[in-house]
Amino acid sequence: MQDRIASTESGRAWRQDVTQGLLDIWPIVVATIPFGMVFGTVASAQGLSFTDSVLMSALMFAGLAQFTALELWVHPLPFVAIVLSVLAVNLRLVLYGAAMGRRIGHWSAPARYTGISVITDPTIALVELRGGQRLSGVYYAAVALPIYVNWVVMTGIGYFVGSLIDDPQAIGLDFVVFAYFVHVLLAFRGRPGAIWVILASAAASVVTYATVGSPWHFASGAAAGIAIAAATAKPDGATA
Amino acid sequence: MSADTVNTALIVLLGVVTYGLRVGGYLVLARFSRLNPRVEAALDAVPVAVITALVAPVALVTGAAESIAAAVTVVAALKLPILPTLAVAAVAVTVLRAAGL
Repeated sequence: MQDRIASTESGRAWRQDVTQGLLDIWPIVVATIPFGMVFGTVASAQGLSFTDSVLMSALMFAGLAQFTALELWVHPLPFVAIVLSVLAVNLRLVLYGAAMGRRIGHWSAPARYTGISVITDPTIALVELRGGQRLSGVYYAAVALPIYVNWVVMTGIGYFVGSLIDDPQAIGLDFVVFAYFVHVLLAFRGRPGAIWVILASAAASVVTYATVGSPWHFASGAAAGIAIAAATAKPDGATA
Repeated sequence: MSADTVNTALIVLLGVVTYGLRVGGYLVLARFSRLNPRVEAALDAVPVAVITALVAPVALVTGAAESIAAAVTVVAALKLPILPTLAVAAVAVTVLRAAGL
């Protein structure tokens, strides 16, 4: 009975959710345009085909993990290192899936499994902010669709731009990804204990890189940093 | 198999892994109300540890041009938004490489 409220009423709620979602997401869409393009450009510089580059953005929809994978993308492909790196960088998505899952019990199963497939950093923040106990599916679609479509389309456009560049290294394109990682890393510097994680990971990765070589620096650095964080965790839940 | 086939296979696998993490959180983790603090601290540290492991060798043991450009990038990242930081980094490394460092 409750869901048979006059259709004008539900139409209004529907429009409100769409408007709110688009208002919340458009600044993030604009901000991610260059990253989608940079990803496409770097993917083309790494020798991926156009289809593979766009496919990667469409299937993963996880910028940091995609850049991480590309960083290790040399032939013959280090399958294990790339899969482990993507697993590690994307582990936080487990937490996002859990946080979102608590709010969408009233959705149909196809809607739940599709919605969760595109949860990412900016959208989980909005879900937490606006979701409450029952997240509006219309609101979520208005937030998730534009940022998803934007990421995939910008990857394609960036790939086209990249294919026009003869020698990416000559214009420092390889270093752009490095700078992107540095910026993301410094954004975490305020976290308690982050400095110890950084020092442990840097030391282990540099030593491994100089002795064993790539891609093992990645696994040893990540393991050292994570081990320090676990070892210094306080039992009350605060990190040291 | 051609390089493109191997690329596509790995990309599909990475897509499956990523989807598995998202759905896995929903199916498994949502059943626990509270995580062990050590597990939580380890999970929290993952992005920092992973990114550091990727950038540290580039900054420290690739070459003089990369090391100096990395220092410039860190300063830029502390002062500037992300896009200007990327531009500064690209210009710095290009100039230093051209200078023969």
